[in-house]
Amino acid sequence: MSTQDGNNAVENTPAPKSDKQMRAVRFHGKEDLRFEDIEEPKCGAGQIKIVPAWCGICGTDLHEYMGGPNLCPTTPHPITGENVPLTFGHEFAGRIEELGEGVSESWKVGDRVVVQPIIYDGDCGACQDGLINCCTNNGFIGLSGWGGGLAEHIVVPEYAVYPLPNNVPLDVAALVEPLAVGWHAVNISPFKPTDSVLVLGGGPIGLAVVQALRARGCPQIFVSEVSAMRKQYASDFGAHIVLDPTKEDIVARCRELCGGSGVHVAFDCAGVQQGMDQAILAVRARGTLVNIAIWDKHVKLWPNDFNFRERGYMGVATYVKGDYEEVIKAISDGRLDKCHKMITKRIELDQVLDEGFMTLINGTFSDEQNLDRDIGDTY
Amino acid sequence: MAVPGQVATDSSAKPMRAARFYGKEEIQIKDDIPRPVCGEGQIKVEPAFVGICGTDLHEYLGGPNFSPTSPHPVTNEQCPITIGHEFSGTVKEIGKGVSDKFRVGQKVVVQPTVYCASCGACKVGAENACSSGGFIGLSGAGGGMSEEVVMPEISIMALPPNIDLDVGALVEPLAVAWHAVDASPIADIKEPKCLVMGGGPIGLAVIQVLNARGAKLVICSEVAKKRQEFATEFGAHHVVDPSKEDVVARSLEICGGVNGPDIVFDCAGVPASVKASCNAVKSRGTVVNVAIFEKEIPFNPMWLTFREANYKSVLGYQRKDYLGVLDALGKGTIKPASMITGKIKMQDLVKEGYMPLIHEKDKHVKILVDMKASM
Repeated sequence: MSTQDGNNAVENTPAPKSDKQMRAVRFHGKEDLRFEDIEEPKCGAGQIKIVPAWCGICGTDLHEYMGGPNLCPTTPHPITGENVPLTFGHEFAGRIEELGEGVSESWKVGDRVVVQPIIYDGDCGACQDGLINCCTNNGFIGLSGWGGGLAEHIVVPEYAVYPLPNNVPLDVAALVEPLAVGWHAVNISPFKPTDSVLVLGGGPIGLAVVQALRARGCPQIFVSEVSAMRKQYASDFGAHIVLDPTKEDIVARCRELCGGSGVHVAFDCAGVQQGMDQAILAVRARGTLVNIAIWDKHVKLWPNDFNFRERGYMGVATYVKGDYEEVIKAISDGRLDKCHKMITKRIELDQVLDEGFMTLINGTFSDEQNLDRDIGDTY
Repeated sequence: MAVPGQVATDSSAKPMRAARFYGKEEIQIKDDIPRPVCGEGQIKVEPAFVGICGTDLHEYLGGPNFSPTSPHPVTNEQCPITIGHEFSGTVKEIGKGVSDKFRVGQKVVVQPTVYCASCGACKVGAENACSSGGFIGLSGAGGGMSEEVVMPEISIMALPPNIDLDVGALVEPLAVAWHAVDASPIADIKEPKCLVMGGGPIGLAVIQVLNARGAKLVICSEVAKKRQEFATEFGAHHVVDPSKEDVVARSLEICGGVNGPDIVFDCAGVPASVKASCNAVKSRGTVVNVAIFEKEIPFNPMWLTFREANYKSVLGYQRKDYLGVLDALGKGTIKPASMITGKIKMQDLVKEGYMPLIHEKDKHVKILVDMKASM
């Protein structure tokens, strides 16, 4: 089976078209999401056709809807050749319905699988180093073309497909994507299992980081969060102490909780100036602030705050080869045993805009949602 | 244990001469400064050559910033304070309990780091990041521009016999560079390719240390003509002028067109150098900030995030860095003598030292104060 190796040349061929129609949720532009009929893709050589079972709505989807297109291309994407309108959905799991010519014999129709949505060119400098997530031309299935999980069918390259163990249900498998973001961040950060950690923000990614830290036995997980509901989630998912930046001095509290020194590592899953300022000072000498948040503008930085304690700052982006396998294994063996609680609502494909996007935007639910498009599916 | 930056004085002894910083644009040469006492575990050094550092100029032009205006937690001193933290000298007196490695008259350098030896940073061996830290010559407890300095044995290191005392005064800026290069991932990279932003004294020191530490390729980005020449002289393989060329595109091209530099050292410390550093470094590469900034800067986390790059800051040096530089000097892998572009007397400190460094900074790398000639 071919995997996302990065330094392997990839065949980035779009799926062939068919004359059949299917239903899909497509993003046309700002505040323009349509549930419509589009051409159903056919399964080409080296490709796998999947019936998506569950698909999560991500903060990135909401950003695109409210203020985009930002990440979604408006001119042909260098790899997919597609631009808006594009099918949404990059956090999804489903069942194999057809296997293209030449794919590994280990796959069978009906297999339960999850899709790792990174699209990459395989030959830029980053890809040559195995960093497909940093590919200069990168994109995502469900944001940059090749269809998305919010459709009745999707065809993806074999390298994007990961098998699921029997004890990982398809709805939970739709959480692998956001969990992999947190898992990857913890993986490449300097975090060691005895370290104390501050997580800024208790949204889906913050919660993914909390769970990844808990899975590794982190003895001190602090979460800084304002919203009451998210504070509760942070606690439920494994934070040892939840701090409220509107009521407490985060820097003083972190130092106090760590014997006067501050935390070893902080993860910024909020992306706001004030939080970043606090996190820099809450990190001990030679500690690191890890940014996962997407920022849409510049911040003010006072580099001397880094100098005088030799602190570091690093960025992390999505996930690489290995992260999906590790997250799937951690779900299967119980290290991520609380993750199913991230699913706070289940809807059908025709309800995506009204019951999905609007619910998340209006804040009725502040957490991951999954979309049931196949009621009665047995796991 | 003797704490670096804590020293007793002897009011009954004949006072000594020293250059003192009082505040913005005020430096005085005084003859009534109490002499330090060489206590247990300490060594008294007679300074020979003292370098003038950018930090000294910053204090003079806009300070006191770094220099304490209330009693420093370790030295207990505040302005006025004796100037000079980059210096060499000879051993004048050896305190009780000092090891037999030292003898009177020996050529030495002084690591000027002041630290408390008890805070969290000190406990994890990051004494340079001590929460009460400082430097003699900036934070009290004496300085190189005086007749005598007393520090604990741990802060004093022998100069290799083949190295002159004037070159000894360059160990401090070279140790800054050594520390920065040591903190970078250079040791883990095969044939490391590096970009150095800025060809001032620290940039030039980084270029030399990179060559001594096996960098495959060293690019320097610098605007001033004279500094570009210095950069080449000290070992930069390519010099890029950021006022004429796109540093990000040029460094990518020089590195072979596939990936940018593995490591970028920001020794310029301006918003443009931060942005260029972050955008030039390869995916998962490291930007090491060596510069001290005067104000906050605009920064975009996405410069680093989409390429998973690292930004880390370093400060000063540790004893290991001094030892690394001294070893490289002894072996001849660093030959920094031509960094010395002037030697002056202490009496002329402002006129012939600070002023040329402020107004003709391109012409100079290091101006040293010759202490023997100043007494």
